[in-house]
Amino acid sequence: MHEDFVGQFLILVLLYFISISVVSTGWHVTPRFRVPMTPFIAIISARGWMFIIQRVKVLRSNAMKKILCAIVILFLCLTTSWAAASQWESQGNSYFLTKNTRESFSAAGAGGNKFLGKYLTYDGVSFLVKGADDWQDYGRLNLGSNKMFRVPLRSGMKVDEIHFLASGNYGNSYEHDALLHLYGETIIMGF
Amino acid sequence: MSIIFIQIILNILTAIVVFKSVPWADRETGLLSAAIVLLDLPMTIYSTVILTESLHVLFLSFFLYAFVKYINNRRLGWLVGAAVFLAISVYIRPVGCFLGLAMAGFVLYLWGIKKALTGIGHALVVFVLVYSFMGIWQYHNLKVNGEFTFSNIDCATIRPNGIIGRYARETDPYLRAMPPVLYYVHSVGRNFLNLMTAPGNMKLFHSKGLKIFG
Repeated sequence: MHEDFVGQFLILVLLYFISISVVSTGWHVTPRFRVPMTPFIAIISARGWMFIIQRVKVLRSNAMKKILCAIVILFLCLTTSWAAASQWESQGNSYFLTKNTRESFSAAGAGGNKFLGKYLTYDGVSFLVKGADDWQDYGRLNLGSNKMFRVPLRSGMKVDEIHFLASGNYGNSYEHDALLHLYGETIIMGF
Repeated sequence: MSIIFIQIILNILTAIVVFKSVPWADRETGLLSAAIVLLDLPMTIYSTVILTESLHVLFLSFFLYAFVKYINNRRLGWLVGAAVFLAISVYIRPVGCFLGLAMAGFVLYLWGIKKALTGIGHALVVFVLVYSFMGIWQYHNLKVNGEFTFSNIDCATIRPNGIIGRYARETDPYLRAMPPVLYYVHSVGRNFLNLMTAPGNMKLFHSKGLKIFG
């Protein structure tokens, strides 16, 4: 009986955090908001896994074990494939785009439903950097071919603003999705 | 670096508290729970960035431990402890500001109709303790800023981004074309999936190997 109440308590707290995160922050919700739920998720999850393991032990069926292993592997692959790795590498004083396909650069929709590369096509992106003195035009990133892109920011340079001037055919069904992501050494920006 | 080290220690403490909180009497479930806490990507990622998350989740795990103890033995002392830990966690991050209300309701449910009077008494203890502690800061805000509010986070997130009145504020033509019910189902569904399924950003590990893995 106590265990039932504990389970209900864990689910109540979990639902509370989910509701308050979605209701209060909407499109700005991030995995960071999942951190407070982690202890509660961990116990529910562990209980579920132990239940499955006990069932498998009872069944002692090789076929069942194989199916479960396949599900676990598939789940892990899906989870890891979601991880948003950096597309920019810093080399010396410059940032390089590590993936050299146009799609990986332009497909930058935020959130779970990204529609990779389907509605964002750029001819190019020009970028202007405002430093201590004045604006400086760093030219145009050529996205037309599979090239590495270089953003030459000098070491120690104080950057106040960076403006990206995108041209080409781009349409974004969701205004909340970023059109372009810039990955720096310590910053991630969505435009 | 030392702050990040402390945050990692706090995460390990959280895992230990979660291990101790598991109500079911098998050691394996406790160990697996602790392992999930330690290996959880957002927990790990955000402990490497200077944020309040690690401290917040530690106090929430103390709250979890005390409340589970209360469910098992129904002693008021554990309930008082749970309420205090919850109030402290709200001071760290205000996301749990309505959780005191939910917990008071749960305490009523826990005691049921047969022992309704005890339930009301214990629920009042949770409610009064949590909101008295929060009230101190709210009173401070009233005196200093003239605003009777615990946190002004609503100005930053809830009012501009929150779900209340979002359809009216929506400017995206694609989303505006949807009827309100469908709009809310669609947008809340996407927000929920983003919250619960995105693993976090591997970049914050500052590791080339993990970047490639990600």
